[in-house]
Formats: sequence, structure tokens, C-alpha cells
Amino acid sequence: MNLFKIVWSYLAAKPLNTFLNVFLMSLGVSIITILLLLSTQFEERITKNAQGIDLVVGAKGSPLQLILSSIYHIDYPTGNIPLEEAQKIARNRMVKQALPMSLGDNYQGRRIVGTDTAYLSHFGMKIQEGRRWEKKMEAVIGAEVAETLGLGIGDEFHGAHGIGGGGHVHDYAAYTVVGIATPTGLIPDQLILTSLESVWHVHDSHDHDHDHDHDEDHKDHDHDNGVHQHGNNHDHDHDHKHDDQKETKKNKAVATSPSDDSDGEGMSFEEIQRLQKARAAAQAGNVRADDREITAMLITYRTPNAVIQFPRMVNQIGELQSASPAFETARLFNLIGIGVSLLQGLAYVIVLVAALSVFIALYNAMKERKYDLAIMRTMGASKGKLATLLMMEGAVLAFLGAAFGLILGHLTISLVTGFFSQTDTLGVDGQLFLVQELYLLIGAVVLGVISALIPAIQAYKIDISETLAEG
Amino acid sequence: MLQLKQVIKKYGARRIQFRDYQFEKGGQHAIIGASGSGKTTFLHLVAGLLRSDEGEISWNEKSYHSFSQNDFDEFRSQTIGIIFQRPHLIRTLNVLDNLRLAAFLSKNEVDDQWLPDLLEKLGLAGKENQSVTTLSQGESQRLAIARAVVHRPELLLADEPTASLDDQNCDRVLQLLTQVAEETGATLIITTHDQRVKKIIDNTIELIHEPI
Ligand SMILES: Nc1ncnc2c1ncn2[C@@H]1O[C@H](COP(=O)(O)OP(=O)(O)OP(=O)(O)O)[C@@H](O)[C@H]1O
Ligand SMILES: [Mg+2]
Repeated sequence: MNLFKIVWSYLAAKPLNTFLNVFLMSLGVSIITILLLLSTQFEERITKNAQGIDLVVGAKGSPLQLILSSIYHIDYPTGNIPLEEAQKIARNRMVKQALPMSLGDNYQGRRIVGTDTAYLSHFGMKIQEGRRWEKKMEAVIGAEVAETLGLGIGDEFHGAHGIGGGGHVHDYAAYTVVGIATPTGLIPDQLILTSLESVWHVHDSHDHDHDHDHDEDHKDHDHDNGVHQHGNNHDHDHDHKHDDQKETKKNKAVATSPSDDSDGEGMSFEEIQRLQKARAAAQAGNVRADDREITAMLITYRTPNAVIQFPRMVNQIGELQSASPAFETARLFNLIGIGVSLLQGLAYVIVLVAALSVFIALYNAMKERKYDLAIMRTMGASKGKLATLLMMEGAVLAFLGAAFGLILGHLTISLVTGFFSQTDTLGVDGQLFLVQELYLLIGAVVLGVISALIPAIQAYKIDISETLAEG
Repeated sequence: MLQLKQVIKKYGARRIQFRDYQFEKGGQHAIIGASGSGKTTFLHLVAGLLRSDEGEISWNEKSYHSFSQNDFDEFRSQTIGIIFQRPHLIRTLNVLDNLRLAAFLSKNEVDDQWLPDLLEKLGLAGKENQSVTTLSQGESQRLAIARAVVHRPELLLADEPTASLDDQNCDRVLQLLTQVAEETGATLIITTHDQRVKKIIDNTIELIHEPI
């Protein structure tokens, strides 16, 4: 026999009451837990993924949408921008790094991102197996893609049009997985990365094969929310010099495939720029300007001063807009923050109601419990022991409620993220436990003790003689 | 040895004056008094549940006046066993756990065999794990007796233990009480208005009170 066993016997004797109290407490605590887990992990992931990116340049539209689509890969891109304009911006002396991105296709819901290999370095993606892309239609897949889609080195796949799964399949040009990146815990783990040229190639072929007629106004053309890459059709036989030069760097096996002689594959953005310049020179006299497009460009500043001047400069260019990840995510947090605060407020109210319910239950129980308490006193229990008994009861109820609440919160998050794992790019881990949860548990127990305080004082003050004389 | 000297308890205008008593160790006494004469008050005073307004009660020459609240808790847990008019069992605990609770609160070591022995003696063997709410009135009363002697008190007090019992049960309970008191060496004091008690307990005293 011990105090806990006595407490437990009282709780077990009133299962419905006990259930209600535990349920209410666990409801409140689980909501708080969910919000806690979501907001901390969400905020952390949001910030981490935007690290080192000072500005995103893309097509005009919602700046938040631009940020979401190009950094977090959760919204549709705002459109495309001319490569030429992007290059001009990239050459600005305030720019330290400019990562081009061309979106528009997916493979089984995983976005295919045309970019250059500096992208991998920027997000700390090393190659755990295979190598980086060197030629057109070679792809490096994020660790998570490799795991969930079961793709391995040498596997081929066809991109589908659109960014969210489904869509028309580009079945004439297959990507080959040449590398698997190390996991970074960042969103690029969920991406398929390739060269800009691959993305252009797929859409160039697409244009040929399907003989879509495109007018010059590209913006009319995002009917299916994907972003088409409309390029002019380059003749692929200029600047052999460069190709040869590249060829020598490649390993033999790859180099032997003769069909792959396109321009710019596996090059850094700087290289592409050089290439484009060379091409422009070679094509001197050709009136048609290079109208390749990219979707967005992730920019890192060279100097902090750029924050003031640079975005303004970008925004002055007709079709372009710039968006600051820091600013836009702060705006997003503010928006979400209101909802979170509201829910949190509600959760705390539920917890308080739970505490009130514990109080009412114990307070009411005192009427029938007073004989028991008095009899315990006659058996030698001190006043303090009776008060402890009542406070323990409040504490046990609150502890059970809080413990179930924590478990419930984690389960909910695990279930929800498990359920949406296909599309979830801001994965929140249900298995992660935070220190705040310990505080939550302790806080709930303290609250349970507090709600038992008045009954405990009654127990402390009980007049044994009078109580037992009544009976 | 329990001693009362000119003890007076006041309830507002109501003033109950008790006779002087001296209860020797191991003795068995019945105190007879009519309803409202102050029997319960008497036992509560002896058990330290009530404090007298005048006079002195002492246990083994030690005056109750010198007892603090904690001393009384300790005193009850070690020295006193009480059986109330109603059994007042803890309804959320089973038969055996009611006894275990008493042992736990008395902080006395109780050997494993003592509780089953007690239940056996009081005709409750086999009901260890039964809920006390399922016990008959007589069984409840006997369990209350068992509970009062779990910690082998030196002073066993019983407040009208036979009040609601028929003749047969009355005899049985009184016999059990005297027997258990004898075995544990406890001084037994029973208060009652039940004249049947006189048949079993020789040493009966009238609870004399003189309202002043
Ligand atoms: N807390 C109290 N406040 C006021 N009066 C009280 C209180 N307790 C007892 N009394 C009065 O003191 C007297 C003695 O009461 P007590 O309960 O001791 O009598 P009793 O002999 O046990 O009666 P019964 O046989 O009915 O149990 C009664 O007149 C009762 O009304
Ligand atoms: Mg009485």
C-alpha cells in the first residue's frame, strides 16, 4: 500500500470522471504540442532552406509565390524570365553568386530542377553515389527521392509536364540518374537536379514533336500551371571547339555517346554565360536574339549594401521582380502567427478548463470523501498526508492528460506527415521531442496540483471528530 | 493506563461533564449511556480527536495537554484503534487493501500472516479481494474491527459496535472484540446504550454526566 495506490483507487472508482479530466487535458496539451512541433520545425526549416539566399529574381507576380516556388518548391512559379536579363543581373558586381533555376517538369511528383552544379554546393549536397551531371539529360537525385522512389544510378525516367505530379509525359527524352546526393535535411533532398540544358532540351523536343504553335508571348502560355520552357531552336553545330574541350574532361564511357553534343551541359552558370557570349559572337549578324528562359535565379550578395540598391534595380527591369526570402518568410510567419496564436489561445483555454474540471471533480468528491479522509486521520495519517493525497490526485490526472496529449500530438504529426509525405516538402518530424514539451508536462502537473489545492486545504482542515460523529 | 480527571467538554451552551475514570492496562470496559449522553464525545476525547475544555486526560501518566497535533497523529497510529458507529470502510479499496491501508498509515511493520489471520478470525477469510461495498452489514462491522487492530493498538475503542446488530451478531461481535483485545493485549473500552453488552463484559460503568 502506498499513497499512489490510494489515489489510483479513487481515480479507478470514477472512470468517466477520470476519463473526462484526462481527455480534456490531453486535448489541450496535444494542440499545444502540435503547434509547438509545427512552428519550431517549420520556422527552422524555412530559415535553414533560405540560408545564403539574399534575393530571388523571377517573373512578376506574387513575391511570396516566387519565394515559395523557387526555394521551398511548394507553389507554382510566377512564370519565366529571359536568360539574357538574368545574366545581366548575375554579372552585377554586387552579386556573389547567382543560381539559375528552370522548373516545369516533375517525375512522380518530384520536381525536376534545371540548374548548375553550384546549386549542389550551395545546399551542401555532396555526391554519395555516382557523380554530378556532365551531359544533357543526366540527373542527380536528392537522397529522399532516391529512397522513396527507389531510383538508383543508371536508372532512366521520363519527366512529366507540370510541377505537381501527373501531366503530359515527355516520353521521347529520358533522364538518366548519374548521381545520388547526400541527405542535407533540406528541401533539395526531394528534388531531381539536372542541367539547364536538359530542361531546355526536353521542352525544345517537346515543341518540335508536338508541333505546338507558340506565339511570341510566352506568358499566355501557362495554361496548366507548369512553366514551359520556350526556347528558339538552336542549331547545335556551332562552337564545336567548346564541346571538344569539354569532351576531353569526360570519362570515356560517357564521351562515346555521339548523340550528346548539345551545348552547355554540366556547366556552371558562369560557363553558360561565357558560352552564351561566345554564341552571340558567333552568331553576329543573326538578328534573332537568344531567347532562352529560366524560371528564377537565387542570388547571394557580395556586400550587405546590396540589400538597399539591388532589389530596386532588378524591379526596374520590365519583366522581372525580386523577392527577399527573409522578408517574405517573415511576412508569412506573421500571417501564420495570428492563426497559431489563436489556436494556441484556444488550447490554453482547454487546458484551463481541464484544470477547472479536475478542481470541480475533486471538490465534489470531497463530500463523499470526507469520511474516508477522517478515518485515515484516526488511523494516524497526518493533515499533510491527506493534503498530499488530494494534490497527488490532481497531479496524476494532469500528468496522465499531459502525457497522453504529448503522445497524441506526436502521433498526429507523424500520421499527417506520413500521409502527405508524397507532397510534403516542409516535412515536420513527429519523432522529434522538444525541451518545451518537458516544460509543458511539468506545467500541466503543477496546474493539476493547483487545481487540487482547495480540496487539499479542505482535507487538511477536516474536523475528524465532527465528521465521524455525523456518520 | 488511561486516566480522566474532571473532564468537561463544552458544545456552546451544552456542557458535558465526565466522571473520573481509570482504565488499567489490559482491562475490558463498557461505558453505558443513553443517546446524546456524550458517549461518542467521550471516545473522541480519549482518541485525541477532540480536546477537552477542562480537566485532564492522561495516557501512561502523560497528559494530553502536552500532546501536539503531530503527537496525536503519532499516538493514534501507534497506540489507538477505533471502531466507529458506522464501519466507514474505504469503498474504493477491497477487503484486504482496507487492512493494508491501516497498516500503511500506522507505519508499523506488519508480518505477512497477520492480515490473513485477522480475516480468518473475523470470519472474512476468502473475501480478501472482494469489494467492501459487497459486504453485508455484519461483515463490514467485523472488517472495521479487523482494521482497528491491524497495528496491534494498546487501547481499543469501540463506539456502539452493536447498535444495529441482532442478538446473534451482537454476541458474536462482542466476543470477537474481547477476544481480539485479549490476544493483542489491548485495553478495550466500549461505549454503548445497549444493555446486551452487560452479558459479555463484566466491567460496566454508567457514563455519568451532570449538565450544569
Ligand atoms: N459538534 C457538536 N456541536 C454541538 N453539539 C454537539 C456536537 N457534538 C455533540 N454534541 C452534543 O453533545 C451531546 C453528546 O453527543 P454525543 O454524540 O457524544 O452523544 P452520544 O452519547 O454518542 O449519542 P448517540 O448515542 O446518539 O450516539 C449531544 O447532546 C449532542 O447534541
Ligand atoms: Mg454516538
